[in-house]
Amino acid sequence: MAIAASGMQNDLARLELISQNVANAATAGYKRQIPVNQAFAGQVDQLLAQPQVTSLQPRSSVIDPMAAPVRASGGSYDLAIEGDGFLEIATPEGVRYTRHGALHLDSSGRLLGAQDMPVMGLSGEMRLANAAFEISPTGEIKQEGRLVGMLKLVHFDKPEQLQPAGNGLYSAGADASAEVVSSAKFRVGYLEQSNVNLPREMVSMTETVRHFEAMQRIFQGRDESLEKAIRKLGEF
Amino acid sequence: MNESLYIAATGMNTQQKSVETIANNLANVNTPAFKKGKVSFEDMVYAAREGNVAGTLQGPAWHGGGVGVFSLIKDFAPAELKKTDQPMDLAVRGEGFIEVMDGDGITAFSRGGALTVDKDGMLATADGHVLKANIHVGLDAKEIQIAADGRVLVRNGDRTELAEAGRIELVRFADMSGLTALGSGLYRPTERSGDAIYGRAGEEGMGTFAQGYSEGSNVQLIDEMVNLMAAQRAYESNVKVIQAADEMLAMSNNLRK
Repeated sequence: MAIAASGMQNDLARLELISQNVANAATAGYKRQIPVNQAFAGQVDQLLAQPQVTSLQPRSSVIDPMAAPVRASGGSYDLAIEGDGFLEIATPEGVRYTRHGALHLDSSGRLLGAQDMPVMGLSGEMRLANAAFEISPTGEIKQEGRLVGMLKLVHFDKPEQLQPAGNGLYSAGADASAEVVSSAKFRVGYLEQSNVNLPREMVSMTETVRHFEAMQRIFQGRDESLEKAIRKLGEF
Repeated sequence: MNESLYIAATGMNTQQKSVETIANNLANVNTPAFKKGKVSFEDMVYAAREGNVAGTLQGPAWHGGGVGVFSLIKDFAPAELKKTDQPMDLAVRGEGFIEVMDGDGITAFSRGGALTVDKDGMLATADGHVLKANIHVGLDAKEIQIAADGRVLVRNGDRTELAEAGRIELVRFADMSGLTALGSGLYRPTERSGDAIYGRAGEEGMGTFAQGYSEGSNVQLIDEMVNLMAAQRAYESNVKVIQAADEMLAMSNNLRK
């Protein structure tokens, strides 16, 4: 019964991830979340090792770092990253990473990312004159033909382990190593879409609901057999 | 309680916003100098739940809070200029705004449109906002010519030759998409757009004036219809998630028959 119950708990958590993905099917730069289930053998070992753990809760999630299709946005400050890599954003909570490349300037001329927080160049924050600027496909920021900065693109060996921080931002764990990409390539005038695939989400949703139903039946069946056993025992 | 219901509800809300923006764009497909709205979304805060059990798991599960509307901005892509042959129709070919007075001494910015001469003989927009350039053409103006560089030439009364009455300047912004729309084709700068940068028409990337032309709306019907379909389907997907979550809750209520 405990196994059926934890299976159902698991399905609820899985549905939560699916709903998050479906809700963000149109969010630029969003990366799909994938539930990760631990292998059953591992769970059994874990239960044997720690008898006090009564339920199986091997729930964890990772992001799907697969690049999403890009779409022409027409904005001259919009950019999509070609290949893998993330832009670095300086937030009050520390460095975060994003694939959402809608850049703009604030009134003091700081170059900001889509989240209204400074985007980092190879030599830190970028300050520009408060006027129009151009972005080259290699990440050079130019103002009136003069090079004013270079966008910094970082690469992770295991991008799937980045932790979502909301607003298209991801934070790297302590042990993640971020290396600067030397040959960055951008597509200016395009934005990366969400990599959520609605039909796939619908399929896994159906799967989850049916799995939940199966678990519910198991629970009911077990309940019925217990009831029968008690009745039979009562007859003696 | 099951978060999925609430997450899917945020998804429906944002898609609804998206449909509203599309509806506004479609309604203004023939409004002169209308600039289409664009809505963008953000994924909302995450919380780590059910962390590592004795170091055996890969990591925590990240539970998101759904989706929110991040920004609603205007897309200032230029639209086609239509020839009207009306001497009072003024459009800007390329980048640039015309500064007008918006009452209380505050200025607003316009992409042009039909001009009029107000009761004091000043050049104004059709809604009565006087141009900041303060161009007095007089009430007896017989002919007004506006050159591509913004010079306004007027022929008053019985005179035979044109006299220069002033010059209209153009204005641009570091980030046009940050302007707030006030309605009736007027915009006001914000922190994001930066301050107005003044310049002469035709210089330093500024557009030029086109008299006798009217700027169309930059709404593309096909794009809007495609976006509408996508938003509708995304809305539907969120509805399905709600149904699934509801079904699962009903099943858990039926655990004990």
